Amino acid sequence: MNHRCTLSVLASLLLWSLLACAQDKNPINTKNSHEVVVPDLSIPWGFCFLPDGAMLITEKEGELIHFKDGKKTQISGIPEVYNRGQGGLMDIKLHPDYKDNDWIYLTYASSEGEEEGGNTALMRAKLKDNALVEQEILYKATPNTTRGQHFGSRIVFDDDGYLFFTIGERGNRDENPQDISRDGGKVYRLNDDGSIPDDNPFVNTPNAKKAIYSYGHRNQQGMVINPTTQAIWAHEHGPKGGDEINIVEAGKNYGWPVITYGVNYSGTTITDETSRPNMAQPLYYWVPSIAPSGMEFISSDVYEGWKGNLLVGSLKFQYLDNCYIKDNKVVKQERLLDGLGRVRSINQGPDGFIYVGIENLGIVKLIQTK
Amino acid sequence: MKNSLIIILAVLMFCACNTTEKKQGLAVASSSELKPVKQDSELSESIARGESIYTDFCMSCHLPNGQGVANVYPPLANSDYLKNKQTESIKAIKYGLSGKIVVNGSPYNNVMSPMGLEDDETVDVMNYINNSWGNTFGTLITETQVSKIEQ
Repeated sequence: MNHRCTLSVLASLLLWSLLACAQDKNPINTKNSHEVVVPDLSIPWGFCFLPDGAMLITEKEGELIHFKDGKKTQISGIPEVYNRGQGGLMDIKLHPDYKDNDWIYLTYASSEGEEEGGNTALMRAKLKDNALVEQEILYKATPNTTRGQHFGSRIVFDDDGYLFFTIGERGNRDENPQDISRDGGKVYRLNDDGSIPDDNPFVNTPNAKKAIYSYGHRNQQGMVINPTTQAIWAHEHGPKGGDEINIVEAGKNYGWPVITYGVNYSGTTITDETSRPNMAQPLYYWVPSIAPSGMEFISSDVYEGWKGNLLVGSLKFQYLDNCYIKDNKVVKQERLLDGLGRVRSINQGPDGFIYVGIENLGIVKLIQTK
Repeated sequence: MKNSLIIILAVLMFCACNTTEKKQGLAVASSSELKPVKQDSELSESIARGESIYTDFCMSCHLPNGQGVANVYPPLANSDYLKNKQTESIKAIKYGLSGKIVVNGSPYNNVMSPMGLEDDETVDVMNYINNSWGNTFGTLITETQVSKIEQ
């Protein structure tokens, strides 16, 4: 009997320590629920709203879905996607003047080029008769690699019409993020036609990739304009620990892998340094990692007490992280849609409600309850 | 008496290993922690290649120790699913897996996208996960076997 007691105490200690390691401490907000708007999706990596109320949804495996009045239609003619590891068909965004020019922007993993493997590409195209036409590749990162990680791929437009998009370091942390003559581990800035803005920070730096806007990133799967300050906010996956939120600014180095608050997946140290004078500090970092994907500010008045909050999806812990922001600091976090599934993408709809793309479920509407 | 029995058993097992080379899934913790036992070279080379595929494609979710994350990413280490469902496991790597499965008594309901691996890479990573973290599952997985598995 004694023996059994000891065993069960040991077992519960072990279980407790496992749970303590695996979970973060954000409290669950119970005053929210959801309504499934688009059912039966696998990995809705990105989505956007067309002016007529329809949605365009990317499935990572390489499908572009038009959804209206409960009906899904496959869009044909999408580019060939290098579907390997974390790569596939990724983000989608409408041009800010879509009503006038019909341009749709897409990121995807592409094997175009001479080397084996793939890397992130940015395309713009138009939708006609349920087909993607007038396709123009605006950027294709080089070189290709068969590595499965870190394609980045979020797209955002700022108020001046510049296009920003991310490319992760493609599993090559020792060469890519700190070298501005190489692609990967960067935020890029382009004009809407793919040309390079004259005032990009490295436009006059010899050998630099001129489209680079900031560097020293790992894998940024969330990026959004702060509707109050107009600053660009992005988050990125750290290794084990050290997921970050950064305010992205021209020419800045965000430090990966020279400084980080994370360690290798195996627990071994990457570096002892968490700061350097010439490297930007994150606005916030998560330890343990939540594996962030998707990012949106609540700018509508739909949700009482949440206006101005930042929403971040957690793939790993399967919740929508409701971040209260004060003076550019995360002052409180809570779990919304807790346990519903891996949160992949987040957008505020034209009706002011928040829509969330959840893996193996679909797109759900976030509802605040009493 | 007990001791001599153990010795006889050990000798028998050693002989069995020698005579059935290339068939046995030997217990290998990881390529960096090889036990000083006679290795099947084909298997151990496959396991070594599989380790780098694992690091590249699997580790961020299933973790370096194969433990996964409770309720989200099922464990591979000591996994009854991997042990008993080798074909389904290969299928999951080749074509992805979604929906509910039960692993070691716990339900998992998620999506693993197809990894886009070549058949030889699938072979290597299967041999790695079958023979790591204390797992001794199955026999040597071959490319012919993997190529025959359809969606």
